[in-house]
Amino acid sequence: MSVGRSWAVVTRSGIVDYRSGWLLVGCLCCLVCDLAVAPQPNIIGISWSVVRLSLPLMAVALGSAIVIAVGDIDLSPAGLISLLGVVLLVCASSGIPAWAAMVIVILIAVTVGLAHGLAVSKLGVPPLVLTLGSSFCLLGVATIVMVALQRSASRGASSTVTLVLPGSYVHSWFSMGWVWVLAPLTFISVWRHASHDGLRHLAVGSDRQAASLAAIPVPAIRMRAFIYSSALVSLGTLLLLHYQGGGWTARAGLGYELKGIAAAVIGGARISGGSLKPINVAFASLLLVAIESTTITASWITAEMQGAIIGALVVIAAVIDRTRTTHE
Amino acid sequence: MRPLLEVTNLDFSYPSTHEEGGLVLRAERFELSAGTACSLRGTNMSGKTTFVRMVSGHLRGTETVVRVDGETLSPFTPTRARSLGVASVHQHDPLFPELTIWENVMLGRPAGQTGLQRNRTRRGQLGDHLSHWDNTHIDDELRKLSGGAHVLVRMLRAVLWGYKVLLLDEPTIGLDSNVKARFFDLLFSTLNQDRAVVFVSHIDDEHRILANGAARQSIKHRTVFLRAGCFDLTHVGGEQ
Repeated sequence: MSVGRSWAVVTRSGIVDYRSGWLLVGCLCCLVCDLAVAPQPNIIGISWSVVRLSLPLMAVALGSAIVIAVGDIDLSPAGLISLLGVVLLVCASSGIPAWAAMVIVILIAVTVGLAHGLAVSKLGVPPLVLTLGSSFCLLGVATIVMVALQRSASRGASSTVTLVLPGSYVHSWFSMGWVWVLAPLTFISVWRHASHDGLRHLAVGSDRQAASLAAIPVPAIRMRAFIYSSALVSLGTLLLLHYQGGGWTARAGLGYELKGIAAAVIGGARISGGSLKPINVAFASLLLVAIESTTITASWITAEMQGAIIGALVVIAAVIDRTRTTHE
Repeated sequence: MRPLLEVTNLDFSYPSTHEEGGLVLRAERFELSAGTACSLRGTNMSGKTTFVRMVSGHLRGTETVVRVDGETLSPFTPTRARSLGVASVHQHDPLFPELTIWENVMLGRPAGQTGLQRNRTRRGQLGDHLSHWDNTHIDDELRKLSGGAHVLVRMLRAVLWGYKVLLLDEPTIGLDSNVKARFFDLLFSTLNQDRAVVFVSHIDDEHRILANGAARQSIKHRTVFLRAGCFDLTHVGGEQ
């Protein structure tokens, strides 16, 4: 089969679309800007750094996108990431082996996701309120445990003090972090584009009443979306810890919930639900980190200006995309 | 002969009518044997749609028991009804316009019918059906299709994966004669002696088409009337 025909099959299946191209062009533009402002331009070093740093965000954004695809929203990653990192610190200080700590972290995340899913689908609690409240709660628990850990380590009590995991906990796991994200990304892409379950998620997000009439178990699907999201957040936490060299504060997850949602939306997820393009979400995460990297490299951009620039670019991207979609 | 569809203690009231002491549906027993096409007729508000929604697992009566080919509908959910072989096309049954035709049809797949080979076969069958349509591809987004084509996709979603009992609730509203003919062709191509269909419509001609089509295929045709306010399946109706 020729390259052209293969490409036609890929585009027809919907795995990639025009947005994928624009996102990659955006990433390349950011990379060029980054190289232009860098004091010592190193294309491989900067590219690799952007890819590595975008991996935790990709995991979180994919989870957010799955929840958005069923028409809900998950604002808990901030608290969940913070708590899971602190749990790893507790496991390390208790002498629990790294593999067991990893299992504990994933189980906690899945339990939190299950609780969110049950509250939303069975009790009818609005997901925005539930996950926001849950995020604050998890953040509070993380801070309490962190302060206790610091006291036991005689470092003084503060939520902003950084504790560091032992090397055996960090470096052995995710030296090839891209594999850890590529595997779920491939799985989610296949799940979205070729599985019955993936289709049912989109159907629930598109029209819940119609989905119910089509004999789709709407509550079960919504519940599962929250579990998938939390599981992906646990993966993002492990990657984040790796790339931060094991350093952690009780507020390390703050901002990730919004970045995850921004990446999902730039990647084509409609907030009202019914759409999911995993590849585009991954590219959007890459773009966000590339923009962030450029603003950090440019010495004339202050820390205060960074947030404003990134936010403005996200808004512009969303407006352009919306205009184009409406035009179509 | 064991009935294909058996509904006992049919007893359903909406909360608003219950306060006034009015029942929407009431019957001790309703049976439908295999190889039967049933015309369900009645005035507005007589409970036709409610009956269809009960059999398809969307509404539940307090004491109602639904059996399909001897198996009880429990838990009382649309998913369970579909897995028992109850397929339905409802009056206001929206599809998913952002998904493709194939994806919309895929969503009608009952639980348990998994496997790539089965999917491939059904995809092939759908492609054969669509080959008779003008410029329509199986991977086209549904939003590009006309309203009439939507009804046909809805019907394909219900019948392509197989069924024992097919419930059609005013499926042909707003269709022109050409699309309506295609709709009935599709219906008759799937009917056989092992299946039953319940057809709800307020248009007399459509019931005649159903009766004639059933006669051509040596399938029994039965008409059941519903009275407004109270529904008694045991006292009215008949066989043709």
